[in-house]
Amino acid sequence: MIPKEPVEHDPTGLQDALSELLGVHVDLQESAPQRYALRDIPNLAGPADSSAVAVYLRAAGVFQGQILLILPPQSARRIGDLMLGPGKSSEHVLDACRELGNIVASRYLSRMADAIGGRAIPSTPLSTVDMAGAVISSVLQRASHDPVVHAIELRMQAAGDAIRGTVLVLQDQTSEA
Amino acid sequence: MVKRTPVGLGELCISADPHERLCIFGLGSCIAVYLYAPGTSATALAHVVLPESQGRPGEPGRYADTAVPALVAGLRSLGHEPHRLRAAIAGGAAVLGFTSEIGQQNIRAVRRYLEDFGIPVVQDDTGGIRGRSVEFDPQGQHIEVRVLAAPQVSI
Repeated sequence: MIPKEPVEHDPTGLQDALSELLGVHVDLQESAPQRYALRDIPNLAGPADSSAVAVYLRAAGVFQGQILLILPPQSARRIGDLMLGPGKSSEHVLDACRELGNIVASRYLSRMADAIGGRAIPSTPLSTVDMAGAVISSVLQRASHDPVVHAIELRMQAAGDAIRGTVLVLQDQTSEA
Repeated sequence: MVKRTPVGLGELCISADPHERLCIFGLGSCIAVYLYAPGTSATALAHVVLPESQGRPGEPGRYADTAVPALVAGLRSLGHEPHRLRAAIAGGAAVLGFTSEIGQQNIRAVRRYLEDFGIPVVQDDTGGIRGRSVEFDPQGQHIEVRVLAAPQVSI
């Protein structure tokens, strides 16, 4: 699992952006970028065979890499409830999760691109519901050899319900961030 | 007592224990390549990530071109010659709506390298769009495949 480390308060502005989007207080915990052993990466968002909602974006520009947001299904459903109101279809919930993924990815890409000096452009988000490990390993296959993986754990509270998610930023070795 | 041994991305494992099940949880477009010797408990599994090593360093199980020879060598060290071996493969799905190129390349590469050793594929659960979890029963000598059931893929 992701090692917890204290970081500066909301360095990407994501906490405020998510609080505004969802209308709830959002608390973030983040790990420092590091290399993980290949065998450990599929388990960074929980057991590799657990059901998960995944949102994927590819980054181009000065930062090249991939961003994956993994949510447990109950957290995805809660996000859908908060953004769209309760009782929406699975497809609407996936829409809400793609929007969340867009915001998360944009914030982290801006941070990476600022560090290099330039722009990073996210692709249109893709989403699916599948085994977490199957999605993560399929994304890893598209990364450069041994990418740097930045794992970020999102924890949110909404009316007493815990909502959690994991963001994986896979930085290609061609990027200089 | 059944013992499950998970094999991670790019790893390779060999067992002669009749109670040990080599398994992969959350297999996407990677391939599980099982070799076994019929009538024995000898089983080998590689978690193949990409089709060709192209000279890159790394674990032999990571690439089809290095994994298949390593599996054969491992079982040969237990006294099982390639002409007696059988293969069972699974994976190669197009997860996340990606075009299936990597999964399909993996499937083709694994089949080609198995063919080089004259090893027939007797069980094949490849392709599709869903992830799988797989384990090999060394006593029944077959792969057991699990995918997410319908209630788990709706949210």
